[in-house]
This record gives sequence, structure tokens and C-alpha cells, in this order.
Amino acid sequence: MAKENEITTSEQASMGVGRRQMLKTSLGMGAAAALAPVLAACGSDAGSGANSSGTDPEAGSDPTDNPGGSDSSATGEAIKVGFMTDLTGITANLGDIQDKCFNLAVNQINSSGGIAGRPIEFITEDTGADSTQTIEKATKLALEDEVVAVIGLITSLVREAALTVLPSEKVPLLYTTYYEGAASGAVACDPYLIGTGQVPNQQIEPLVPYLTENVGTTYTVVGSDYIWARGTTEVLEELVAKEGGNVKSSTFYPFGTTDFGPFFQQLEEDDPDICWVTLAGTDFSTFLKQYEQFGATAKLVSPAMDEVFAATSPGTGVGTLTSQSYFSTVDNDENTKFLEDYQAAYGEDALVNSIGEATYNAVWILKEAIEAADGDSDPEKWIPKLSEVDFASPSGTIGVDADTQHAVSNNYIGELTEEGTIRILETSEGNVPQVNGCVLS
Amino acid sequence: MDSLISFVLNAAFLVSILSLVALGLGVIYGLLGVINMAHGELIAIGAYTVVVLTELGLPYWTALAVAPAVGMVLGMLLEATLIRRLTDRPLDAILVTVGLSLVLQQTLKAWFGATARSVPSPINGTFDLLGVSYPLFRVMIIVVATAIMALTFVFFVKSSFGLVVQAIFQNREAAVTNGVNAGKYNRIAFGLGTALAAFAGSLLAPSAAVLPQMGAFYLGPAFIAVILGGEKRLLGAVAGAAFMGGLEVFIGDTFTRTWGRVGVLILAIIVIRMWPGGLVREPKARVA
Repeated sequence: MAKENEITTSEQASMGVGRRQMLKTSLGMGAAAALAPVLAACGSDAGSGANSSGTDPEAGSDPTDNPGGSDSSATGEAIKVGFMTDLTGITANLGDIQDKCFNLAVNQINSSGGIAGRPIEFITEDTGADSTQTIEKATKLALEDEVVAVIGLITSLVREAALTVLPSEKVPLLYTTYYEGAASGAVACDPYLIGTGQVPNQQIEPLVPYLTENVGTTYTVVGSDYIWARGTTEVLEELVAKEGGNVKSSTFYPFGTTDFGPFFQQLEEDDPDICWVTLAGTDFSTFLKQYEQFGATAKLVSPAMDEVFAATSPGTGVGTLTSQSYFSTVDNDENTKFLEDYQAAYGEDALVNSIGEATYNAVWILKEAIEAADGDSDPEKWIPKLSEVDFASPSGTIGVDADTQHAVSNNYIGELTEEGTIRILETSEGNVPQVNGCVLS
Repeated sequence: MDSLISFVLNAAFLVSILSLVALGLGVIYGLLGVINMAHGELIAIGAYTVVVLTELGLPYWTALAVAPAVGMVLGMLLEATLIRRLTDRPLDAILVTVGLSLVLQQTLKAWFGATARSVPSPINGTFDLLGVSYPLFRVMIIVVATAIMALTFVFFVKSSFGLVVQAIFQNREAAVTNGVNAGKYNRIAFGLGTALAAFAGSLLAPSAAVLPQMGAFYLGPAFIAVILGGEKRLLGAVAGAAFMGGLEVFIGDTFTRTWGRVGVLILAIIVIRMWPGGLVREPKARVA
């Protein structure tokens, strides 16, 4: 019986707006606020205006105030590169690191002769960790700024968004974060997509046998409800089955969850050897705090754990096992030099991780490819030269696989120490990426 | 059995936090007719208060007492400078408080950085209830939040201040005609509402990543809880919170966590469509 005259006088008397309209307005606002993370996770048309996780409208920086452009010994016509990452939004802390690594690489290259004598000029854009904003910015970089390549990006959400724009404009994307590859239907095999991070076979294939040998074969999975977590879980399930183990359950939470209470009942029922975590960003920090409060005992394993993440919740998650292409504890001359330069530029305490290192590498890969194409910055000329890249990176020597256009790199299995560093336990070298029968060459 | 107990505990946890948030929103909405879109940031401010004080070396319990005071003072300041001008303009108020929410969020980001901050857990260990072990700290939160809610109710029902507020809830014009200085009550009520939000934030701080946008997780459901609750603002807010929190955990347990979030909103829309008066209503007799 929803009659509009059946209302009490309180709202009528005090407001110029009827209760009905009030209901509609407030319900809409409430629903928008409540659903913003869910919508964002779906990668659908989440209106950025309603996204309360902070979409900063002002993006990027002015290329003229970048230190790299001024004192370069490179004199030729500038090569224009776009850089995109999450400078705001839930992954802003990671975007900051990619930003620093990108700037470091550009400064180093520009002060040592540029790319075939041509300086790098760049335009930084903020994705806001939001798909709509990413599409806008990628379109701007491609059409307005006419960049020769776009470097960066973190979550699969924004990568998929950028890939709706860049390939059709023939602008290559050098994607700099480890991701799910072709799993879960992600775009992974495209002539205009170059991956400098790892795909699952490089990251998880070495890890699962290590776990079988040292920890166990039963898993409970908890992740954020999006493509990387789901895709990685698919790959994990296959690999674990091969080892004769099983994934007992997998639970995916919407972004921005601050209460994982119900999961711990599931974990207790499953009683697995391993709790496999693919929660994104700060949700992972919240999870670790609650993992301790609930006194859970399964061995924590997360391919997302690194020193940067550990610093956000000091003291929690000690002993968590991880597997990535780079940790700052990698022991070689290139890494020592890289860390020295990085800390000289950004301070003694500045942390770096694999997606930062992969961003740094991406700029150098671009340089080597363009130089292999005799300094021609036209993507049609330098993309075929990617397979000639042979860069002594901080994580070891890397190349680019001609078939998939993804980086051939080392993998390190490590453990989080009490000091918040990653102690490297096992190294596998020159892992070749596999992207579901992808043959681009 | 185990899963039933764990459901009850998890639902109780979510509902108790949600109730505090919804109660604050309900007080403000009931008294001022303002939908405070900046309520989520007050949750974050409560949590950051704990971060600052514990980093200064003060015990968590002290911070727990200071946080609502910070929320109260800030709320009263906001009311005096901004909200006061918006009491009879509910749609403008939404716009202004959305703006306020952005300003507060970015200010927090500027001060504390975009990286999550963390507060050590003041109570460790778990509590064994019929075979289900549950963190002691969470049990404490449920108890404290319930106590604060009870205190709020007693305050609004028993104190003379509360009685006047109830009168304003029921008929603002009549109350003003009878000599009530609504302005004064508005300011205190707004302060109380924001104090409750800050208190919720200070309870959450040790078990969540402290971030400027951390309130968003609770804000949406709390809004719906207030609308769902209906005309008896305070009781309604808590009833609404129980509906939202309980069903979210239940649907999440039964289907997926994402459906828990989405499903409860769909159900809320159905309930509001069918019973626009909400879950807890005033008697209808005295409509003028």
C-alpha cells in the first residue's frame, strides 16, 4: 500500500521536497556509493563521478617541468612517449613507484645520448585506477599527443580499458605489470601489446612445484573479484591438479572490502596447507591484519607480496611466500647500481618492486628496439625489432619473446622477513612467456 | 552449527559497525533533513585520529576516547559554517556534502599520503565459542558498539535534550513554534552524528588498512539502512543496519561475496518500493 499521502508530517513540514523524491534521490546516491567499487571491478561504465575512491580530475604533469628534458646531450627530434599509471585511486601507492621508475629511466637515457641521439619527451597521465578515465586519457595520448608508445598501467581493469583504444589507433602499449596473460579471456595477444611483466606460467609454474615440495598441495584461494585474481586462480588450479593436489575453495571479494570475517570460517573448514591470496592493494593489508586477529595458520602464499606491499602493514604477513620477476634483494651489479640511482633520486627509504622495475625496463626496451630500427620511432619499424632486445636489467638479463611480445625474464621465489624484505629462496632464469598459442612473429 | 555461529558473529560484527554509522546518519537526517555524503570521511577521520595518537605513543584506548570527540568538534564546526545554511534545502545539501567529502578525502590524502596506514591490534588472541574461534578484538568491538548504541538510545529517550530532539523528529515546525531553539539542537545533533561515525572509524582502525576512502565500504549500506529504517529514525537506522549487514553476510555465505553486496541492495530497493514508510514507522493517526 504505497500511497503518497500516507506520510507523516515531519519531512513534509521541514522540506520543500516530498518524501518520495527524497527517497529516490538518497537511495540513488546510496546505491551509487555502495556499488561504485563493484561496478569498477566489472570494468563496466562506472561513472567516475560517483566513485568515492577518489578520481582526481587533474592528471599528469607538465612535460616542460620534467628534469630529463633539459640537460640532455641528445639533440635530435624528440621521441614522444606517453606514460600512464594510477596516480590516484586504490593503487596510487604503486602508481607512484612506476612513476619514479619511469622518470629514472628517462633521465638516465636522456642524459646519456637519448634514443639514437633523440631525447625522450613524455606526457604523464593519471588513470585514476578507473576504466572510464583510462579510456579518455589513452585516447588523448594517441590522438592529441600522437605518442609513439604508451608505457605503464597496473591493474587488468585499466589495461583492458586502454586496449580498447590503443591498438585501433596503432599505438603500442608497453604494459609493465605481471598479469593473468590469456587466462579468463584477457586480451594478451595483440601486435600492439608488449608485456614487460610476467604472465602466469613464468610466475606460478616455478612456484607450485616449490610449494609441493616444501609446504603442501591443498589450497584455499581468496582474491579480489576481478580478472587478475580469477585468471591467476584458473592457472593455479590447472598446475595444482598436475601436482596431484587440489584447490578446495576460492572466494572473491569486491574491491574496497574492509571485513573478511566470513572467509576465515571457510578457511577453517577447508583446513588447507596453503592460503593463496590474490587480493589487490590495500584490501590485502586489511586481510593480513584480520588473518592475524583470527589466528589462522595456513601458509600464506601470494604472488602479489613484495617489499612495497609489506611496508604498508609492517609486522604482518611475515613468512608469506611470493614469486616475482624482481625483488630489491636480487643480487647483481645492475641491481646495486639501479638501487643506488633510485635512492639518490628519491631518498634512502624509497622502495621499489617488480612492477616498478618492469616500468624501468620498458623504457630501456623501447630504446633498444628503436635503436635496432636505426632510430626510427615509427612503431611499424621498431616492433619487429623487439626480439633483438638484450638488456642487462636489475632483475637479470631480459629479452622479448618474438611470438608473444612479452618479456623473457628471471623468476625469484622469496619469503617475507620480519624486516620487511624478501629473502630469495630460489631463482629460475630466462623463463619464456606462454600466451595460449600466441604467434605474432 | 559451526557455520551458524560464525554467521551470527560475522553478521553481528558488520551490523554493529554499520549501526553506528547509520545511527549517526539517521540522527543528522532526522533532525536536519540533510543527507550527509561526507559521513564516510568522518569514519576515516576517526581512524586517522587513532593512527596519529598511537604513533605518538598513546594507548589505543585513549585514542578510542579521543576520536569521537574529534568527530564531534569537527561536526559542530561544519554545522556552524556550512550545514546550517542547508537545512531546508536537502538536494543542495547532498551536493554540498559530496563536495565536502571530496575536500576532506583529498585533505587526508595530502596530510597522510595515499598509502594505507596501520594501527597495531590492541588485543590479540581468539575467543572460543562452541567450537568456533573468533578474534577477541572483534568480540570487543561488538560489545563496545552495542553499548554505545544503547547509550545513544538512553540519551535520546531519557534526557530532556533527547526529548526535544524526538519532538523535532516528529514535527519540526510545531517544535519551533513551541519555542525550541532548533539551531542549537541541529548543531549538537550534527556533532553527535559525526562523533558516532568517527567512533566507528576508531573501532575499525586496528583491523583495516586506514585510508581516506575507507568509509565508502560502510557508507552506501548505511544510507540505505537509514532510508530502509523509516520514520523512527534511531530504531529504524539500527533495524536497517541489521537488514543490510545480516543479509550481506548471509547472501555472501550462500552465493558469492560480490552478490552479497549487490543482492542486499536489490532487496533493499524491493522493500522500499513495497513499504515506502520503512521498517519502523510512526503511528499514522495524527497526520494533520
